[in-house]
Amino acid sequence: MRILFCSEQLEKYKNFLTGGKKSSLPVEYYDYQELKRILRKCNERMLIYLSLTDRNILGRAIEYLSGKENIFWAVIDSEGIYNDPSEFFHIGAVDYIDNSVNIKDGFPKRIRRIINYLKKYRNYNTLQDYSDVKSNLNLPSTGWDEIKNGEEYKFFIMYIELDGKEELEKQWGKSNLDRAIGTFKRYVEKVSKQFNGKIWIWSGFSGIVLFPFDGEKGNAGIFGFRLYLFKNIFDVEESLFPKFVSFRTAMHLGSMIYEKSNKGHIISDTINSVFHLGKRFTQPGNFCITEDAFIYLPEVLKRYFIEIGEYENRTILRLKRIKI
Amino acid sequence: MKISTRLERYVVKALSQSLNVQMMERIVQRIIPRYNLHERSGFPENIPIPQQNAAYQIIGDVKRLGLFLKLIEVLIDVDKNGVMGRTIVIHYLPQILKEIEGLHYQYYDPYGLFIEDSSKKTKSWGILQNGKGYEFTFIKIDIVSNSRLVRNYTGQVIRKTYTDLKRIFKSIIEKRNGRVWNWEGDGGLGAFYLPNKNVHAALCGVEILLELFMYNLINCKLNENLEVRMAVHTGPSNYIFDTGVIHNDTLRRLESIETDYTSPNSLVLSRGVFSDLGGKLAKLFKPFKMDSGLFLYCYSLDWED
Repeated sequence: MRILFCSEQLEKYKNFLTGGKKSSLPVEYYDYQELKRILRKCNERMLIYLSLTDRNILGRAIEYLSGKENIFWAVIDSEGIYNDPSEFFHIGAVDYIDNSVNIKDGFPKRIRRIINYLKKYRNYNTLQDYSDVKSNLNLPSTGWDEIKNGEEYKFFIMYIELDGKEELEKQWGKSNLDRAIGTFKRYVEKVSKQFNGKIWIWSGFSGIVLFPFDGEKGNAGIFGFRLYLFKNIFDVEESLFPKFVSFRTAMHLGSMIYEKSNKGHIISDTINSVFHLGKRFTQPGNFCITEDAFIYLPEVLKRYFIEIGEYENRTILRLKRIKI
Repeated sequence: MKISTRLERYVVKALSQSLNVQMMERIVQRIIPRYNLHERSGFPENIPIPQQNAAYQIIGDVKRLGLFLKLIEVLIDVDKNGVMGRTIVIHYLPQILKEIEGLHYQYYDPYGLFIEDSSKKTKSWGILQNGKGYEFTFIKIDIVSNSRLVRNYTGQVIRKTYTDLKRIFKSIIEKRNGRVWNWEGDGGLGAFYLPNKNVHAALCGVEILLELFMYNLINCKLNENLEVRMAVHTGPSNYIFDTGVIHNDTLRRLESIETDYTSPNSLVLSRGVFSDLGGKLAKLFKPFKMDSGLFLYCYSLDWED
C-alpha cells in the first residue's frame, strides 16, 4: 500500500509523520493539486494522510476520496482546529492524528495497526498489498558496491539457526562441532552468494544473511527456497554431521543501518524482530517469512508457502516441507 | 598422450637412482603381471642388468602398452607408502609431476591416479583405451512425452528447452567427474568411471531432478513442466572412442530400468548402485519390487500437501 501525505504547506508539515527520520515505510508527499493528478493516473491501493487546515479544501478532498475504491484516508490536525474528530470516522476516515499524539518513532507500527483494522473491518485483501510500495530509502540497484558503512538501507534479512544446539553440544567436542558447523556455514555462504547475499553475522549455531533490496526483486526468497531444496545434497556431500541437519530460517524485509564490521551489538528494531521471529516463533526445520518479504517472492514460489498465523502484528508464512 | 624426451629422462633417472633392478621389476609387476626384465631386455639371466638399461627398458615397455601414467601412479604410491614396510624415496617426482601437468593431466590424490585436468573433458578422462573393458556406472535421462512436446511447441522453444536440459545434465555430471557419452534429441547418457562412481551418479541424479524443479518454476518456456525419467546402473562395458555405438548388457539393463520401472520426475537405481550408497544418501531412496521380485530404489521430490 502506498502511503501519501497531502498538505498545502508541505515544507512545514513534511516531517510530521516520521519526525524527519527515514522510515521502513516510505511516505510520498504531495500538495492537493498534485494529489488529484496522482489519483487520476493510478489505481493502486493508497492510504492518504490529509493535512489540510482550510476546512473547505479538506471537505472537497474528503468528498473526492470517499467514492474511490482502494483509497483510504486519514486526517492530520496539526493545528488542533477540528473539535470532534469522530466526525471523520463517521464518514470513513481510518486514522486521525493531532499534536497530542507522538507517533514519530512508532509510525510503521501505527500503519500496521491500521492495516490490521482494515483487514478486519473493511474491504481489504491480504497478500496483495505492499507490492506497489517503492521505498524512498536508499535502494542499491547493483548491490553491495553501493552500500556504505553507517547508512540505512532496506534489506531482506534472513536469520538462520542450526537446530538441536544442546544435544549437539553434549555429543560433540568443541573443535569437532566448530568444524561441522563450519561446513554448514560454507553451504549458506555458497548459496547466498548466488543471490548477492552476504553472511553479516555468524556466531555459534546461528547467523544473519543480508540481501540488498533493489525495490523490486525478491531473489533472496529463492535463496531460502534453494537452501532447503538442496539441503540433502549438502547433507551427503559436505556436511560433517552424521545425521541430516535441521535448521530454521526466518526472513523479513526491513530497514537497518548497515555496519560492515558488526560485532553483534547492533541495536535495530528490524534485526530484533527477525531474531524474535527466528528464535521464538519458527519451529525447528521450518523456513518462515513475513508477509512484507513474501509479497516480493517470485509468483511461482508463493504456492509453496502456507500462512501459519501472526507474529508481532505480521502475517507469517511457512515453506511447505519436503518429505523424505 | 605425447611423452617428451625430458619427461622420459626424468623417469629414467627416478627409476635408476631410487630403485635397484630387482625392486624396479617388482614395482612394474604391479601393472604388468609376470614382467621379466631379463626376458624383455635380452640380458642373460646370469648377467646383472645395469640400472639405467633396466629403466630405459621399462619406459619403452610401459609406453608401448599405454601404461606410462600407471607407472608414475605406482612410483607416487611407493614414495608415499614404501614397499613391504621399507621406506623408499623416489627422486625427481616433483619434476615428473610438473612435466605431466604440462600435458594437461592432474594427479588426484584421493583417487591415486592421473586424469586429464579441468581444461579437458574427454569421454575417456584421458586414460581409457579404445576397445578395452572397464567397470562403469551409467546414468540415463529421458524426456517424458518428447513426441508430443515436439508437435505442440515451436522449434525455437523446444531447442531452447532441450539445450537448457543438456546444460543442466552436463554441468552436474562433470562437476562430479562424470562424462556425457551421448546426447540425442530426447535425452542422454552419462558415464562415471573414477572411484565412488555409484555415489556420484546417484547424487547427480538427485541434483538434476532438483535443478530441473527450479528450472520448471523459473526458467522453463513451455506452458507445462519439463519432465524426465532417470535411471542409474553399474556394470562392465567396453570403451570405444565413438561412445554412441557402444551396446552391451549393462546398457540394455539400464534402458529397461528407465523405460519399464521409472515414473516421470523420478530417479531409479539398480541394486548394485544402491548397495554402495551408505547412510544418508540411501535414506533418500525408497525400495520397490520389480516383476522378478528383485528390488529397485526410487527417489522423487515429494512436498507436504
